[in-house]
Formats: sequence, structure tokens, C-alpha cells
Amino acid sequence: MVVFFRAGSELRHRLKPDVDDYTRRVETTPGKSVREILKDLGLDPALIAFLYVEGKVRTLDYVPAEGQSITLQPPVSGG
Amino acid sequence: MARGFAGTTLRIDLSKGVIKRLPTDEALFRRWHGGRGVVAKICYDQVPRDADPLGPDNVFIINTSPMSGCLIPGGSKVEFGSVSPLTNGQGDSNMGGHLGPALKFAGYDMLIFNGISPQPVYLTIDNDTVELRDAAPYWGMKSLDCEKQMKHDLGEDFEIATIGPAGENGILFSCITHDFGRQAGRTGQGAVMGSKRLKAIAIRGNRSIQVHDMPGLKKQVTGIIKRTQKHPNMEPWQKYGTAFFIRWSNDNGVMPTRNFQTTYYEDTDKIDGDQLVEKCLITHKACFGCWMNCGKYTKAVIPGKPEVHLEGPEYETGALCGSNLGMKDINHVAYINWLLDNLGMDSMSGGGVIAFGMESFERGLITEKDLEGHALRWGSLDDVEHFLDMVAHRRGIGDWFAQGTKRAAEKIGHGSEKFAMQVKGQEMSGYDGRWAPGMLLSYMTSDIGAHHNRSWTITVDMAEGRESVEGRAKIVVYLQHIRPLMDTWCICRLFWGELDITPEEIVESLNLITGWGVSPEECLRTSEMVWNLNRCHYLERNRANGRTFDYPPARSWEDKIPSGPGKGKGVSREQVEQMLDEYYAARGWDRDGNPTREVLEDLGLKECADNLERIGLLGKAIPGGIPAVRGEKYKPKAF
Amino acid sequence: MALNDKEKERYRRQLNVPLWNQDKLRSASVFVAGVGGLGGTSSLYLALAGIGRIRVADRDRVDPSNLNRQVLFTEESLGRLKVEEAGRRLREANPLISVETFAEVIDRTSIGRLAKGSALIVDGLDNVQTRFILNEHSVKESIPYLYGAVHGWQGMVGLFNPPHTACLACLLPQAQTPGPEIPVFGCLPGTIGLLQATEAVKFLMGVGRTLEGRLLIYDSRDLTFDLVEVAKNAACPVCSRPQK
Repeated sequence: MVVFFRAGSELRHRLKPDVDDYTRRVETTPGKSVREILKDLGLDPALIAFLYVEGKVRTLDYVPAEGQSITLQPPVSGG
Repeated sequence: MARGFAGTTLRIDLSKGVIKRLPTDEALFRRWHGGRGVVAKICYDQVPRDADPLGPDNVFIINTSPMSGCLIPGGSKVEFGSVSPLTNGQGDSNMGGHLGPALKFAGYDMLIFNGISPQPVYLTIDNDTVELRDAAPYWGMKSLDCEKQMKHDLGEDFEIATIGPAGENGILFSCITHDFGRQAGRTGQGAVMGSKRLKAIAIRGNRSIQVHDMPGLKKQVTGIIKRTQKHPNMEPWQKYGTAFFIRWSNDNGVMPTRNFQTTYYEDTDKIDGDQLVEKCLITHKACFGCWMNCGKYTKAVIPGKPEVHLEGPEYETGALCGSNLGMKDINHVAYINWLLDNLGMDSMSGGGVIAFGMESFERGLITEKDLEGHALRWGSLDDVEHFLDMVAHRRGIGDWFAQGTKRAAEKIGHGSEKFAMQVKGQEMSGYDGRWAPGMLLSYMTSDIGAHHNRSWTITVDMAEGRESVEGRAKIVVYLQHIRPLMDTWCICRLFWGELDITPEEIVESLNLITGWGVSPEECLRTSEMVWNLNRCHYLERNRANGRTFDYPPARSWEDKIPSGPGKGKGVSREQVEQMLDEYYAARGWDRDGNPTREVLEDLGLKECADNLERIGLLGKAIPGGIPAVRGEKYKPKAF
Repeated sequence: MALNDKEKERYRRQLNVPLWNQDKLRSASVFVAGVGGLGGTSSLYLALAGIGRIRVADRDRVDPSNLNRQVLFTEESLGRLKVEEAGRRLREANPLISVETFAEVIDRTSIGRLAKGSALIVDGLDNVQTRFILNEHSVKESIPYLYGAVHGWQGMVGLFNPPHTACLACLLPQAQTPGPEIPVFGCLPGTIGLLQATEAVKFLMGVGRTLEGRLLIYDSRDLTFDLVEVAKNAACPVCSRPQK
């Protein structure tokens, strides 16, 4: 099944977007968590502070459904 | 939407009286399959670790699976779940009847309640129309009476589940009743429902469910039906239901007798299956999609008392409210069953609590003064009736017993903890474990206390040696994966287990319905995930090493069986410790009974490992690593 | 208490903003933790709005690299304590309010004293470890915590109000390694600081829908604004600890 990863601006160069400037299309199997999909892509989950899907913050153990867009938010801690 | 699902989940905020319709989270079900699995995950994610199970932050979930309502044999079960007020861990309980399929036919896969309603309410679902209504006319009514009244008021074709006064009053082992005699009894789900001021749910639906491969499913199910109709087990099950096992248990020296003092009851012939059929039976009852009709609709006829009708007593109630209370008349056992059903208390914990009360009375630890001038003697129906009234309304020391035997023993003191027959706060099922060590281990390690449905090993113990603990741990682990899968799929284990239908065939049905293409190994892994998730949840709430909570009551390892075929037998303390060591090793947990990071990450539960580590309860790494496969496959015997 | 003539004149233009309640702002006390990029902006606009008492705490002195974004400071400020400069600047901006300044470290021993009496804690920090200290105090004392943070082109703002909503620890894993110097240009802390000040004003007046339990995530590069809900973490080590 297909899901989409979208990266907050500091992370996108690692994500290698291919749909637009910040979105990457990912082929995966149903039932996998975001953590497991990131591992398959060779992306370190430690780069992500949190993620959100359809307006709700989720954990790395979230299991996405077909077609969902998952935004990966890198750490933001300056002031 | 994947096949098998109705497509909609309802989220009901009882504090605000708001009902939200959400698309069913199919990905969640894909990973956790449904029923008990999804319930466990939602509770872990959404109930704060410091939440009071009877407070607004607990959720109360009514769940089905993609298989529910698909005319799969035995596909009748509905699963209730929340954090249990009885065990303070993840709690779930299911029941047969017709409620789960009705929910699917109305168009819903799952209901999630949170908050507390300011006024008593009940939920009606009539296809698209979902309403919270004022339950003032029904609040205070007994369960069976309430269902009857609601059917009269709403319509006979509504499927209804209710709580009784016990649930309203927060008796910690309160149950939920449906179809005039099916209960979701264990873990106090009725108390959670009552704490939310939710009196009942009434459902009516007539929509279709789409499956992935209809011709394939029809062919498979027809084949199973034809094959099982001729199975030799069908007849005794249809005739007696599980009451068949009353005599079997007694003959084999596992019968709980007078609060598990011994394991052979001299008056079993007065309360067995034949007595039930001869003296009490009105008709047989079946659940949705089942023709084993193990349900027995009966009457209790006792001079001086009104004739009452009920479903039961099935094995557990027959034993725990029969031999366990010294009852000498099947009508009396049935009457106690009816009292518990109508008041809305789990008949298993109910029997255990009464028995504990009787032994306490026998020892003079509680007196007639405590019992409003009444006694509490073995075999006395009148004493039981009065005692249950005190408990259901929490009068006097009834309040102690209303919290289960564990807390009652804490109040009574004088060493009564020894014969409070419970683990983790939940009372023991109707088999004594002293001459069946695997069964004892099953009670010790079940996620919901001393309940048998996760792992039942009497026949394993008989086959492998009743006085040895050899190899028992690995088999218990396997059974704790395969049996609860049925609760995840909302299928009756009895139908599938007793008639030699294989796990592979059930997985095939799942795939024909959903199109998921999962293997039996993946399904077992899902069940292992749920098991470990529940263990982590328990540790995070109860904040001590797992081993602390896994010991049986002292009677189980200090008192040898005094009479009957098991006379002189008993499990020793050393054997108990050995079984725990082997069990934890088989699970990839450390010697303190805490899951290790290795096993949790292998199951995709890193978040749980991080949570345990943060509170200092993550299992220490095991030298040599965890077993690659946890649990030894064993042909499970049902029941 | 009625506004005096000076107040009426100063605040004349905002008094007619629908639902405005200047008295509530005047009676309010807020604690702004840090007066750099974020805190400098938010405290300035809170002062202009007329928050009755603003406490600011920051241990640093003004550095040349601050001047691209820390609006309370000029070349003249270099080398001086930030809170002294900020105090002076805020009092100039609005002499009708009270400004209290603390040139000290914000840590577990000082936070209770620094935030005492405040209705709101406003985040002006530049590191996540100290944010966790603010958060713990927020959970412990049930004081809402108005979170803000920036990095490069991104910024975010949210209002944690435990026990009603999630806390910061529900959102972020506790284990955070301190990073290298964070890239930031003035427009971002300016934007986020202003959003914080707006939310603070709304919250204190009880007006509108605030960011309670939500996070606004701004990516200025793509010009996206994502508004997301943050659920409580049932296993949160800070706000869901079982009582024993």
C-alpha cells in the first residue's frame, strides 16, 4: 500500500521528496508502524521529534492506513 | 473500507453528551485484529496511568471484529474492555448472544465511551439513529427485569445489554447482562459502565456486511457445518452445555469445594448436568451463528420462593456457586445464579466472594452481628440471598465484600488472605490448581487474575503428569496466545475448540472475510503483542516488578488436598517458583517478571520498553538472548 | 476597577475590539521565561497590551549575535544584563504596568519563586531541557504553559493547560541531546512571539478559541500553517504518574 511522508523543512533533504518539495511517496505493507517504515527507508527515528496525521499528533508506533499523509516534525527548540 | 467492517466507530463523550461518528481505524484493526486486541491498544494509549478506573478518564469500549456478524460459526461474541477496577490493569470480558452482530448490522464496528454522564443514560442505536436517552425510568432496576421492560418499551427486536443495581453501586465485580442470561462477567466491566451512569445499550440494525470472497467463505463454512454436525462432542454439548463438566471435574479431583478447601464434593450428584436437565431445564438457547446451543434456559423452583427463570447454571457457576458453597440442590444453585444475574454480579467472582464469606463465618472472623442478624453457612440459600443483598447495596460489611475477596481479606485480616482465592484481585475460576500445576500457573500469570479462559490446562496436566511441572510453562505461554485470539476475533472458543476445527481453518475464514492474507503465525504474534502490551500496562499502573503480582493464594501451595481422588496432592512452593522462572524465561521476560527490551522491540512495542525503562521496570537483558519463538505449540483442548 | 484617564487614552483603540476586557489584562500577572528572540517580542507586545504585571527572567548578557532578532536590544545594550535592558525598554513602552526582572538561571530550585502568582507561563527559552522544567512546574501547580519554539524557517506555538490538556512531555520524548547553535532569523521568533502574545491576551480575557491542547506549526519556507491536536499521553511520566 502507499502512504506519503511529508517533512518539516529541516528534515526534507533526508527524506528525498519526490511528489513535491516536501512529500515522498512510500510503498509499504499494511500493519507496519511508522517506526518500522522509517527503518525500511533507512531513516533514523531519532531525527523526528513527533509526527502528525490528519490533524492529530501521533507516536512513532502509529500504524498508518492506505493513502495517509504523515508529517514528520524535526526538533524545534530555539528561541 | 476493508471487507468485514461496518465502517463507522462511535466515540461517545458522556460528560458532554456528545456522540461523534468516525471512520473505523482500519489500520488499527489490521495490526491488532479487533476485539480484545484493539481494546487493549486503545486503553494503553488513552487511559492515563493514574486514572481511577471508576473515574471519567477511563474508557469503556464495546468492540467487535471484522468477522462479527458474517455468519461465521460461533461469531456471536462482543468484547467489553476498560481498565479494570478489580485488578487495576487492562480488563476485558466478552459474551455471546446477539449484541455484537447487531452492532455490525446497525453499521458500527466499535463504541468508545469516555467521561461520566451527569444523569443516568442509556444508548439506543437504530441503524443511523444514535441517541443518549434519560435512563431515570430504568435506573435501580435489576438486570433481567430491565431488559424485559426495555424490550417492551423499545421493541422486541432490539438487542439489549444492561447493568443491575450492583453495577450502579460500584460493586467491583459487576457484570453486564444480555439476552436474559448471557454475561460479560469478569473484570468488573459492569462497574465501569455503572460509574459512567450508563444503564444500558439497545441496538437494532439491518444492514449488510461485505466480505472479500463470498463464494469461498460459503464453501468453507458449509464444509465445516457438515463435518461438525456428526462430531461426537456435538450431542453432549447440545444436551448439557458446559454443565457436562461438573461430574468430570469432580471425578478428576479439581472440583472447587467449600471455598477450595478440597477438590472433591460428596454431593455432586445433586448439582450435576443430569440434575440440571431433569429438574430445571425449560429449553436450550443458542447464540448468533451457533447450533451447539450450549445455553440452558432454566427455572429454579423452590418452595416458599417465587419461581424464577434464568440462563444457567453453566459449569463455572454450577461449580463456584454449587460445590464451592456446599449447595445440595440444583434448584438452589440455579436460584443463586439468578440472584447474581439479576443483581448484575459476575457469578464466578460472586461464588468466590460468597465462599470466602462462608469460610470467614465458619472461622468466626465475621459473625451474625456483622451480617444484620443472619448467618452465612455452607449450603444455606437463605443466608446467601441475604448476604448478596448486603453486598449489592454495600451495607455494613457488604461493602468489604463488594470490593472482591482480596480487599475483603485485607479488611478482615487474621490471615484470611490465605484463603481469599484470587490473583491480582480477581477470583479463581472453577478448577482447583493443586493437582493441576499448569492450571495453577495459568491462574498466576493470566493478565486478568485467576481466570481460566486465557489458558486452560487440566487435560495437559493429566497428559503430562499432574504432580510434575515439567514443560508446563511453555505450553501455558502458547495457550495464552492461541486462546485469546478467539477473543480478539470475537468468536466463541467452545464451538471451534470442541469440534476439532483447526486454527488454520479459522485464519482461512478471517482471510476470506477481510482479504488480509495473514498466516497463523502472524496471528499468534498479534496475540503475543497484546499479551505483552497488557503486561506493560499492568506494570505501569501498579509500579512494582511483575513477579510481585504473580503468586497464587497461600492455600494453593500450603494446603494439601484433604480428600477425594487428589488426597494428599499439592503444588509446593519450590514448584511455584520454578514454574514462574520457566514461564518468564519462555516469554523473554527477566526473573522479576518484567518484559525485556529485546522481546518488546521484537514485537514492535518499543514505546512500551521506553515507558517501562523510564519507571525502572524494564526487564534486564537475558544472557544468551530471548527465545526466538515464545511458547511451545500444543494441541489445545477446549473449554 | 475603572480605567483612569491615562489608561483610557493609551488603550483607546483596543477598547473597542469586540469582547475586549482591559481590566482583566490589568489584573493579570504573567511570567516570561527568557527575553531573547521569542521572549523579547512577546513581552513587548504584552506590555503594549497592558498586562498588569510582567516578570521576566534571563541569566544572559546581550551579545552581538542577538541583535538580528532580539528586538528589545540595540548596540548600546551590548554586554549588559538582558533583563535590565528588557526591563528598561518594557517600562518605556508602557509605564502604566509593573515590570519585574530577575537575572538568574531558571531551574527546579528557582522556578517556583519566579513564577509565583502568575496566571500564565510564557515560553521564551532557547533549549528543551529548561522547557521541561517549565512544564513540570506547569503540571505541578496547574498553571498554563504557553509554549513557543523556532528553528530556521519553522516555528511552533501551543498552549498546554494540564490537567485539562496534554503537557509538553506528552508531546516530546524526554531524552533530548542538546544541539549545536540553532539557526534563526528575526522574522520567525518575531512571528511566534507575536502569536504567543495574542494567545496570552485571549486566554487572560477568556475570549475566543485558544490553542489549548493544540499546536500551530508554521513553516515559513512553504508558507504552511498546520494546526494539530495533541492528545494526552496516558503513560506520560509527568502528568499521568499513578498516585501511590
